[in-house]
Amino acid sequence: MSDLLHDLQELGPGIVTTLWLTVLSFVLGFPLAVLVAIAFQSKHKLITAPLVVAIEILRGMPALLTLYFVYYGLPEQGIVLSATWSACLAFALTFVAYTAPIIAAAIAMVPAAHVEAGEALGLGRTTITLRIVLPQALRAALPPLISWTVILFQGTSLAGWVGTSDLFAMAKSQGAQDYRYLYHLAVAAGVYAAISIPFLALAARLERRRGGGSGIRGLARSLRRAAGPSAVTPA
Amino acid sequence: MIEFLAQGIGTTVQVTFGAFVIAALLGAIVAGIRRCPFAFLRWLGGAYVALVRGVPPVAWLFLVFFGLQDHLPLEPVPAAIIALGIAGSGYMAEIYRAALEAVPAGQVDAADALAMSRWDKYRLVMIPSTAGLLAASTASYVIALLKDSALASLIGVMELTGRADVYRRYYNEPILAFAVIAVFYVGLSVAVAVPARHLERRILRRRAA
Repeated sequence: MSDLLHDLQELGPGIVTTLWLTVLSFVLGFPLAVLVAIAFQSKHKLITAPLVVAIEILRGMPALLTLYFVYYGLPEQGIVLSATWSACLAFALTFVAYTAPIIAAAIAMVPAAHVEAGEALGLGRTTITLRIVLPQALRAALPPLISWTVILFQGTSLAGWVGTSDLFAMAKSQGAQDYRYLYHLAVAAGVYAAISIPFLALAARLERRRGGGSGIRGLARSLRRAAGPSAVTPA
Repeated sequence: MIEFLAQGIGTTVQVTFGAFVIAALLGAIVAGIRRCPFAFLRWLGGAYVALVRGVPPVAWLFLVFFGLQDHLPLEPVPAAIIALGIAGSGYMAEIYRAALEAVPAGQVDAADALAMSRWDKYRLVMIPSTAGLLAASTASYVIALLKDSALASLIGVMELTGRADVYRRYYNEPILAFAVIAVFYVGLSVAVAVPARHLERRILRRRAA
């Protein structure tokens, strides 16, 4: 038992790096996802078409390949990023590709009447977006957003292949040192699980409480509920 | 060059298909356990799903390939198939669960009212009723699995990503090699998505008729 505690302590810096990579990727990716989702509402094909293409390409490739593109490919174009920043940029792009369509769907399902009410009150477009549309849309999209953030967190385990010393990379090198791979990998897996499971459970609970199933139908159902009278908070 | 990279398609398909078969079977067993009458077993099924989803797929890969080396030494391809199959079983179990929960309660009650056996209830009522949803979610899961199969390159499987990485190291043309296999991945995704869409439509049409 004290051995395990000692080994967890050894993994400490790796855990911090993993969390730091997650936070950095999220801070980079989430605002971008919201912006892309807002841009998706545009009626101009010139704005939406390139976004659709970019998202389809990013969703079409493995996250590992996106990471390789950023880390090995960008220097060919004269853009050299550190391992940490390459990893964060790649993970953020993958995160955007999966969450922007979810947020866009949630925005599209905010009743038009709420926007019209804002206009009737003489509110500007920015105010309407920030204080009427986004709060409702993000609340409705919360369960899948939490799940995708957990996937982002787990995905940072790939960062070690471009040279960061995150949790998984540390467990690997410890295993290489004393050949107790099973033990060190199991400890690292336990740490990932201990952090992931509560958030996955939270996402599942939020979804169930709203009476939503999974997928679009569940999202629609939760959106209908989010659009109910209690959610109307005039700015 | 394209030839060298394209030779990875077969391995990528092999890993994806193998892992899918394991995930689909193991997931069905777990989904069944989660609907059984014993609370403890149901809890155990739920704990399994939580644990499998709580650990990154790449960690399953290394646990199976390096972790079991002394106890059960495996070649990289079977190790990747087993590891990704385990990681996928949690997702497949969730897909089955969501699909079965989507069956309207009235249909289940009707089957019970007709005193159908458990087997007939699933075979004649619940599965046909939810087959469209099941086909759609399974197809999107297979596409996700296709992309997860790239992780197998990290234990030395020479599938698409592994070959592109080798090519990059020898010829120093990373963008070209990665772009080519990205096109292969998109092509494979389409090869899964299009027949799946047809199947889904056929199921929905038959139900409407």
